Amino acid sequence: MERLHRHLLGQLDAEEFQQLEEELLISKESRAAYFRAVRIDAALNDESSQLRETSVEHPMTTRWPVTALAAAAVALAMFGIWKGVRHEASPVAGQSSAAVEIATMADTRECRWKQSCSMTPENRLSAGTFELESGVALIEFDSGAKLALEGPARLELISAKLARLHYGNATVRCEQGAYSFSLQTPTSTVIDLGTEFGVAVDPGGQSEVHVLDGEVEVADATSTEQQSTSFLSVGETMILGKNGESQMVDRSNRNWIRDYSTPADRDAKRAAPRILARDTFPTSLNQEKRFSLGTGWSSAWWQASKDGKKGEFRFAPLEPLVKMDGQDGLAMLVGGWVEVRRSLAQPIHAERAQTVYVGVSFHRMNPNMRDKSGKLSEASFLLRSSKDPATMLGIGFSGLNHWVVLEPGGWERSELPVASKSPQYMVAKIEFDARRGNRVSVIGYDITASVPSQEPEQWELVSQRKLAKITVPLDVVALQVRQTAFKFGEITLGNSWQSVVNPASVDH
Amino acid sequence: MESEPSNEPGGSDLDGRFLRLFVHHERALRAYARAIVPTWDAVDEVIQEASVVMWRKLDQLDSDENFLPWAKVVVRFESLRARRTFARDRLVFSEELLSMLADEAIELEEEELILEKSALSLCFKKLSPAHQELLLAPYSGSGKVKELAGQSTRTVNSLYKLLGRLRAKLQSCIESELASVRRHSNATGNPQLRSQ
Repeated sequence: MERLHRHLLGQLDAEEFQQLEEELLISKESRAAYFRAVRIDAALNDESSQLRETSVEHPMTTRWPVTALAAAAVALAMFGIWKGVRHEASPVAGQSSAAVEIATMADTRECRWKQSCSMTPENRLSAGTFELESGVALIEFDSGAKLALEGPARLELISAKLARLHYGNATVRCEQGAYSFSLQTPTSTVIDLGTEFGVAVDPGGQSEVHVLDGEVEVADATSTEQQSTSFLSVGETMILGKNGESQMVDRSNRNWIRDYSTPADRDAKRAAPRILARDTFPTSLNQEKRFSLGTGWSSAWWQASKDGKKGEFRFAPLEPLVKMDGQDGLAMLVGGWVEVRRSLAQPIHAERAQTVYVGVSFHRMNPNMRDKSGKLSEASFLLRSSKDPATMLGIGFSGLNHWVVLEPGGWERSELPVASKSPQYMVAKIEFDARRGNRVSVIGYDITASVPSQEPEQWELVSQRKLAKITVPLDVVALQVRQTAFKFGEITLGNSWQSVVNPASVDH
Repeated sequence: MESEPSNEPGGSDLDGRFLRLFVHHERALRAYARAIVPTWDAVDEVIQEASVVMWRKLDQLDSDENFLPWAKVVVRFESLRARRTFARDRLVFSEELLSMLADEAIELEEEELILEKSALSLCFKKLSPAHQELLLAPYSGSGKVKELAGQSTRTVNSLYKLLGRLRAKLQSCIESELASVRRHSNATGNPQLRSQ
């Protein structure tokens, strides 16, 4: 099939061409395959002319220098395991000016540096080369890729999406949904297809590529004439000789570093689980102060509907929702076009680096009621500022069952609808970081599935860090519903996964 | 340009009829020509020539339903004639093979192409922007692939190899999409989408 396409691209040499011609002459099947390839060619040509027609309005913003190296989720997309996010076209970072910061030193573990420079966690890094004599350095690129470098090693940072390993060992992990990252070695370019791989380069120039998770593309860089490309899948290992020869081996004997935790991550893990605020709503309709129960609040729930749209909120039977502490009680029903709010006793100061976990159990009422455009009702959890109504950060469950991360000045949506629809328990992890930009990770669990006690490795959506600053305290929690109604079974804000999914285990 | 068919809104009925038929079937005719001639530029030339011939002889066409087979005869003739000009400077199949291909390519049907186009859109969107750009580069004028190679660390040759691979992958994706559409239409008894 590939050869037919290369023929249509005019890329066969005389010998290959003659072989193809002979094959086509004698085999009707080959000719049928030829027509199929022609049809693909015709469809691509169509696609191209349509794009040219529309490109006046929507010029293609993709630039090759970064995207070529940052090639591609193609294989993953083909197998349907790519769960990326939609991006606005991102600016070409760190491409021209050497002073542009492209990465952050996220952690240093017993590092000895060759230069006199002392690199410590949180140092911002620009393009350049550094040498690590011993220890492990964790570098987080602004593209989202994390690289753990094990000394002795020499690494050259080129852009937010590209680095060159001159020698030493490195592992690279791209957050799900991040754009690809490429690591060059003296003989090849290893292109991440949205996953995790290890690369080791001997001082002699021989290198090893091992896929720890997902798939990578390895492009041979030794010859300028004949450049070959291989795709490796999880568990596969390739040895590349200095002369460009490559060979697959059964297994990798190296101990690849797969710990990408930062000091802040470890502190957070060590810190005692703490609940910032929690509300499980009343146990019965007769309970007093129904709108001001729970802990960590400084007000009761109130309805904030400024636009005059109709809405209501009240308490209703919990079923089919359940509460994480196993207690009975009621759910809060929020319906129509309405937002309800409640003030936090302790505002979140987003300019300080910290991680806040949010757990919300919710159920879409009337799950078959769609609006004119075929959408179901939608709900959002928002952290707001009472000082500045435009400042907020939140997570939405869209009318087409996607997770949506809402940030000042933009939003990001999971590419595929989430698997569990409703009712479900959603956990979001909000990493506030004023210097690098905030990041939100979201995952949902079907109400029938048990929520794991440990934080998952993979989230359903991980937003890109954007440098939208939040400079005012976030002191209000809001639940927003559009179209019909949602029931909320409970809502918890905590400092860890455990505090949210197992609130009963946390001492008050 | 006086000999060209008029595409003014106020043109004669004959022009209107020709344009309607031609526009409707252009995609199928171009794909048909592509099976015979070696480049899309060549397809453009062939279709240009063929359209003039068709326009002049349209009064010989008895009914609109027969337009496509009739037009294919014209395109076939023009394509095989064009072969002689291309044969000088590039690798071109023998006349024997091309005649065979021209006969069998009649089966490139409209519906198939439309289905394929929508499957392509679906599969295409799954690719990264870089791979999408590369896949379309050969259609954006000569030198585009070279330009892309110049901007990256890759060679032109390696980009063409990657292109071959990407197109093969795209084709597998499209064929599996089509197979599932056909399975579905067979199950629901839609006769238009019968399997091959």
